[in-house]
Amino acid sequence: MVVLTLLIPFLASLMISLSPNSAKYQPKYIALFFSLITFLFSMSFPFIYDFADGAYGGYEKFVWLNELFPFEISIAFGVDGLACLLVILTNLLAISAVLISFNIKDKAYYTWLMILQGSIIGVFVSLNLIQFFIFWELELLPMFMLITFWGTGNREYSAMKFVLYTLVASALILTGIIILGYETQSFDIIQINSMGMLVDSELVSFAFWFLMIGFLIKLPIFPFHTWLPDAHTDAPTAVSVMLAGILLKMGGYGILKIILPTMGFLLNDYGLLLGSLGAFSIIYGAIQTLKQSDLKRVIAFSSISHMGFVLVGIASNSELGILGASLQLITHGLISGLLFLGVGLIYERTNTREISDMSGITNQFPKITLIMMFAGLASLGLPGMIGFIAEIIIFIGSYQSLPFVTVVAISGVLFSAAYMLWSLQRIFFGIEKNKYNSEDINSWPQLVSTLLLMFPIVAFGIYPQPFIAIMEEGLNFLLNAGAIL
Amino acid sequence: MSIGMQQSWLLTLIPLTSFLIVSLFGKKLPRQGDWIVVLSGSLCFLITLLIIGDFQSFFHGHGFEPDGNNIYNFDWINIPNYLLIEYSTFVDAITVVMLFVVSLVGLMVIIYSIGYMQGEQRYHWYFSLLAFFLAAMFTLITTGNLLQLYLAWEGVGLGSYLLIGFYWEKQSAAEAAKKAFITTRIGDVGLLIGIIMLWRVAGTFDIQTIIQLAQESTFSDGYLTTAMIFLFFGAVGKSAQFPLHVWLPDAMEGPTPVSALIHAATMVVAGVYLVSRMLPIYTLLPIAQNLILITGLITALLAATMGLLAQDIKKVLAYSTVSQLGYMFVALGVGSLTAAMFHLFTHAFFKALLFLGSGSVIHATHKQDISQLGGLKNKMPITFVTFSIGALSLAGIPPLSGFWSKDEILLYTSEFGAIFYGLLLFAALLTAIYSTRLVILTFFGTPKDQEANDHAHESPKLMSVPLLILAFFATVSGFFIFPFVGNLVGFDSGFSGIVYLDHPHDFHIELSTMLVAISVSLLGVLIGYLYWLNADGRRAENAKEWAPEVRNLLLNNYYFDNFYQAIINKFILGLASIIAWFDDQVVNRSGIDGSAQIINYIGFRLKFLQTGKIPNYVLMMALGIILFSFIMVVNY
Repeated sequence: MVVLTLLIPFLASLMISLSPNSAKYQPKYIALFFSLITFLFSMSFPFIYDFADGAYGGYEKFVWLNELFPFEISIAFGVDGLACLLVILTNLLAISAVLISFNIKDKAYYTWLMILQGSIIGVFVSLNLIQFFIFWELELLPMFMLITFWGTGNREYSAMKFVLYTLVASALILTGIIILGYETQSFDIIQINSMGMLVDSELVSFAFWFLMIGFLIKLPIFPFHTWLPDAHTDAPTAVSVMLAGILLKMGGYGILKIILPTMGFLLNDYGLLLGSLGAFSIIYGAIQTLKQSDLKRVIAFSSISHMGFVLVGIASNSELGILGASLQLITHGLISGLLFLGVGLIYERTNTREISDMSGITNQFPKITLIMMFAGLASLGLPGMIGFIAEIIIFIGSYQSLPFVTVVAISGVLFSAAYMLWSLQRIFFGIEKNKYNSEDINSWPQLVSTLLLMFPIVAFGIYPQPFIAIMEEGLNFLLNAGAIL
Repeated sequence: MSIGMQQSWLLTLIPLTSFLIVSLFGKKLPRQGDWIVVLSGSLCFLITLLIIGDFQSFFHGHGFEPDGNNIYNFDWINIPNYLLIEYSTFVDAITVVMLFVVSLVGLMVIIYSIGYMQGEQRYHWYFSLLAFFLAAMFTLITTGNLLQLYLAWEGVGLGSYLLIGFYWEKQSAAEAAKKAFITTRIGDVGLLIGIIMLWRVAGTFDIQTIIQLAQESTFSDGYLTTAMIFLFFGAVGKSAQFPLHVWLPDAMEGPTPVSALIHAATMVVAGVYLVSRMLPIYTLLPIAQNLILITGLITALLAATMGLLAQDIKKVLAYSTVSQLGYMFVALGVGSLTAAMFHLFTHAFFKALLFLGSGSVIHATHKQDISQLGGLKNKMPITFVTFSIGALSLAGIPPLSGFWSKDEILLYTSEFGAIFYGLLLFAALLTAIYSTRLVILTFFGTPKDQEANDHAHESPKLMSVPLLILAFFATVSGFFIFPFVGNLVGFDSGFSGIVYLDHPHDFHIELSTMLVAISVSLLGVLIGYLYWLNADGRRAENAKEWAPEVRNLLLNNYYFDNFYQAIINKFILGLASIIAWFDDQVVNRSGIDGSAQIINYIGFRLKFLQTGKIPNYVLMMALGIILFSFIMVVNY
């Protein structure tokens, strides 16, 4: 089932690019159909697989290169609790991304979108480091194409910056992976994790930092974050949704899946440093939003701020901190995805993202206002919404080992309320400045694309237990591997 | 199944359901669904009465066990071995008092709103928000654990935010809503830190367990004091205490019934409720308790002086609310739970009454500025009489309710220290003065705006009946101090019996302090009378000349808003500019683009090595061989 879920998007991209140019086979419907199928498949994971004690669902292994290397390189697939939720999130966001792009008719656009979805799924279901890396790289290609050809503004610069920046990260990660492989004599993630912690050595420290910085660039964390606002600003809406919603999460996933089980003990030495970096990033990102005039940049910087919580949770090296960080990956994916959908909807109607150009647009676009208010409140960590659950668990966990860092991180919640409400107020409330000759949301694809994300935000915000239970089993795997000392 | 203490979760469920129904389908329902909210409000009041009855018989039957009333409904978050958060409800004496206040004032405000909000656009949205607020408020007061309390705490904050910003086309309303949310959030951050600190040592969010552990002195005093002070920050924000009081006067931008419900009787007393709930711990920590006392005292005084000169009828009431909340914190600071809860109880009725009364005036004249009002007493007799009852109660004139509860606070403070007592008496004097001024300027004298006065009329029954009911409670609720009145409703020793149950010892009346309080109140009323009524305001006009600096200070509310605005503009936004510049120029341009340029430059230079001429390559090769041979020779 897992392999199938991975293959469908690639299959879909093939079908879209080969489909005849007729009204009957519009690429958007093909894309929607296959993204629905992928989503349904991935939704079955929690029901058909048992993740208890870190077990993998849908495990498949094929030997790939046996003779060339001192040890075998195989292709292995499977999901644990964390990967399962991330795959579901990817597919959910993919549906929203397709729906929000319904105005675009290009075959190539949907082809790349499907390849993007497939390669992201590939990252999460890979159980071999080399294979993981291949998918990690593969995702750059569609991103580059989508931003360059369907973006706005300074799109070539942003696309190039994104790719080059990420390639630096990739180089670091590849080095780290190779060191890790030679240290453990294996690239098989399950095998490596079953060995427990590596023996401390200089080389292991190198691998730790290579991998850590590589993943932190992707997360992103100060001072490696400047690619994100540019990429977001110039990307089309659907790509922004995928970028904020799921691409950033690959960084956190890498830390949780590769660094913690093997080199987690180094957090005892570097936890305070990384935690402080995370807390700094929270405040640094949050304060900057106050000076951004472009709504997309506001949300981009808020993403940087929110990803700081992930790092704080992980750096605390506590069970709840790590669990909270894993949850934050999902919750932020839903919330930032929704925020970018909202910005896209506004931009489509007003042709501007400058906050100062808009004022009092509520009465013209009541539904969009409701969506953005909902997303904004979720983003500022309002209890009853899913974002709060992840944040509170991070705080409870990280306070145990990093009390001062946690107090700084909690005060970030204040900033998020300030910039979110201030931005929303300037856009939606007050005196009506302009009349736009376009209507509020009146087509089902746009409505459905937002409702898809709103439902889990509020449902699991009110009753989070099922969501946490799946994640917690995924975490067991980390615990059993001895990540937690 | 009978409904009692076990079923207090119904109080969350019923309003929440009506919120969902009315907000989603309100437009299509007859009368936009306001009757659903009225129905759920009435049901909640009924359930409250049943819970009180159950509580009373339970108390008589078994005696009181602090933990006996904790009811666990389900596991909200359960991470085996690490974290367990239950959804629980808890009913004790404090809850019962709060329940009565919230459900009664809530119901009155809902009914009143039907008249007041008639014909408003977004009528159904208004009613659905009232229901949402009530659901959150009921959760807040019936919960047994701190995290759930925080959940509801933010929930009432959201309700307040949305209702203050109800007229969102008005810039000032949108600003006020944002200000209220962010200012209270400053306190909420403290509350959250406090809750997490307590969890760290207690391993649970359950309030009764935490109190028990604290009393067994399992925790270090310093740590506990820090945690409890953080917790108190939350109360300071929500109850608009100094220095976070600035949001409440602005919150008056919301519809007036909302001010009565949220910003007078229920949400703003959540802070008092929280500290009351945790009082067994605070009494162990002198530093934290003194902080509460001093905060309350400063607030009571400051806000009372601000109320003296305010021109907006609702702002006067808002300052007075801030000031009265300060009184409650003073009571908690001197350790008297009974006095604080008693004042909370009576204040809720007379202040809600005053707000609804002012709403009636605004409804009739469309004016809020008291210098534009006047001469309404014959036009609006019911509003006039009920409003006066509220104002006199606030001023502390016996036998109205405010007198009894304020007297209790003064009594305990006098036992605590003369200076606190003196300052609090002074605040009581100011209270009496501004209450009198408010009544006189609104209802007596000649109308300043004849046209508005001509159009004025008594409000419809839907509005005046709630006024009469609240006036009744504003009059009689003070009598609960007498045991025989308590007996009438089934509680042995009056109000202290309700709050303290089996040991209602610390509730008494002293004739001497009572006489002092009465004379101070009467003096205040007399001053008000002499200045604003007797000389037809001439004395007050002349007084403007006295001390212009003080006058300016008061009119500008001690420049708190200006000060905070300056901090935000100069410091926070300044810092944001610096960071944005740093991020753009240093991190991005120099750090990232710069290193890219360096690589570009190196590449540009190095490309000249690729000359394409064979002799050059041979030369390089020869040099390389020599170099490596040299290294090998050196190494061996």
